[in-house]
Amino acid sequence: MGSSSGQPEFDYLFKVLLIGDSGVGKSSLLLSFTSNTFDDLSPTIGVDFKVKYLTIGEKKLKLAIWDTAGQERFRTLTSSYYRGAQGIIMVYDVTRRETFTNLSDIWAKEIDLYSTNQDCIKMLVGNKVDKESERAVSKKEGIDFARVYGCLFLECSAKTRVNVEQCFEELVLKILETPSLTAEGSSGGKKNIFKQNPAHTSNASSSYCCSS
Amino acid sequence: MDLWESWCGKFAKSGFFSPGSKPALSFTTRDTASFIYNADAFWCFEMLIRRTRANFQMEGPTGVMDQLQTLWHILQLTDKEMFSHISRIGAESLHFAFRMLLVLFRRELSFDEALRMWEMMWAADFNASVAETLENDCLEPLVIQLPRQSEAEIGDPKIDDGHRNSTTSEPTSRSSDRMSKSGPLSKSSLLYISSLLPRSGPLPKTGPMSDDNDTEMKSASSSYNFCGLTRSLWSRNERTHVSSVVSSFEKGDDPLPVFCVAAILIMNRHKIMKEARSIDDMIKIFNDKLLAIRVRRCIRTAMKLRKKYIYKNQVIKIKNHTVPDTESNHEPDSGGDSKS
Repeated sequence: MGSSSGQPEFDYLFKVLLIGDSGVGKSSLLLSFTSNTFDDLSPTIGVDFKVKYLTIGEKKLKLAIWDTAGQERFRTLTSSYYRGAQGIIMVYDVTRRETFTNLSDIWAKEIDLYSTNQDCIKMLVGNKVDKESERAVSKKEGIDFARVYGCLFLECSAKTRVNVEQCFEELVLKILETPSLTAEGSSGGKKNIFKQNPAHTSNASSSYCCSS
Repeated sequence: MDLWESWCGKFAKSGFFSPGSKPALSFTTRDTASFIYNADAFWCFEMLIRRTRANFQMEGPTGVMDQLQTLWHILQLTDKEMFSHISRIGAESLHFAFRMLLVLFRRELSFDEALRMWEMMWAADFNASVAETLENDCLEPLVIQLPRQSEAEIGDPKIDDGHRNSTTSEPTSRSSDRMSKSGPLSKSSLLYISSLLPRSGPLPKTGPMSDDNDTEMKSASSSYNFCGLTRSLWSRNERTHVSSVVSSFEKGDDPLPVFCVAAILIMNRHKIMKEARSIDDMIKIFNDKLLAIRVRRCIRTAMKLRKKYIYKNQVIKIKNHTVPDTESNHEPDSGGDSKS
């Protein structure tokens, strides 16, 4: 919400993005983190956005967390949200193997394609560990993936809130350790990353001319 | 039981849809299905999707993206203040309106309110030729010819009275006849449908909800026109002359939902101006349902906006091309179906 202008009430503003297949629990993870609740949520349409304030050490942080729809149809829309993200959380469902394999087949490529931040911190998160009996992806596989792609790794459950806070905190700590990222996110001055209008740029053959 | 799966089983082969349609579906499964036959929910859903198919297209720019572009243009022409505010805060992508347009305000409104909204929108834009197009706009497995003759499809007022007809003649697609185009999802009409449904009528029996699939479906469909959901209402409306509102829609102008979004923006001008300072705020305001959406006022404003927009557009066209060839010349290519 609109914060009182003037002095920013935080030291750093970080943009974090949640990606992964539909139904892996991105929105639930976010809800669990921001409001300590767990609900049966409808699928996300397009993008959603939540803010969380954290204090780590001496630093006051504002996390702008973008929750994207996992469905393929929204890919063109969600792709514009990679821009300027300091952290990207790749989520999969430990009980659904394809959500894990899609991370390397699809999502990692999306990051390469759209992320503008070379140093952006990536994190792999296996969700739904509360369904241990249905597990289809072992922890070891997660660790191996993380090693190959050079990202952080955690398993969590949005439902039981196991490791939920740790996911975000570890990511933020790592961002704080990366000078190029803290330089960008500092001073709370929001940079406008949406200056251009995708609806327009994507459709050059438009019969309308919208210059004013 | 699962409407969505049944629907996919029948139609999803076309490659049009993916589970992305599910949000739109939730209304039928969770809400309507409780008081109507599953088969009715199925067809309600099918007809809804026919209207909004472009939104769910997998390839190319989706219908919603096109509508966002239109929305941008609408704001530019009709509300300079809002337009410049949105530009200033960098929300030109208008993504905050994406969800509203994709599932037609279902997420923002309560179930009853959403029904009201849809009914009003579709009634305002009711158009015989559009209705007919929708009716004929079946996906592959649905293209079924009536054995008798296709006059039925034209909506002859004589067969308007489907249920009376049905008792005398052999069972036709009478139950589906009653599924209206302009308001197939209104609670009242749904109740009406279900109460009139023949107990062993074609829909419940052969409906896609039945466990046995294709074979039964096909054998039944050869004798019943499943596409004729709208026939009766459609012909009824043809007799009573469609209002003039339609004419703007007919000319290929943009449909009402996008103007409704513009109306919602304008109706919440104060809040947006005051609280939205970035696209983040806009998305938050929209997603967290912080806006006041009063359906009737919204539709009324939207229709006014559309008038204004069409007018301004014409003015611009006249300015730009000194002599624009009048947009509205009617192509009388197929005289048969155009209303006299």
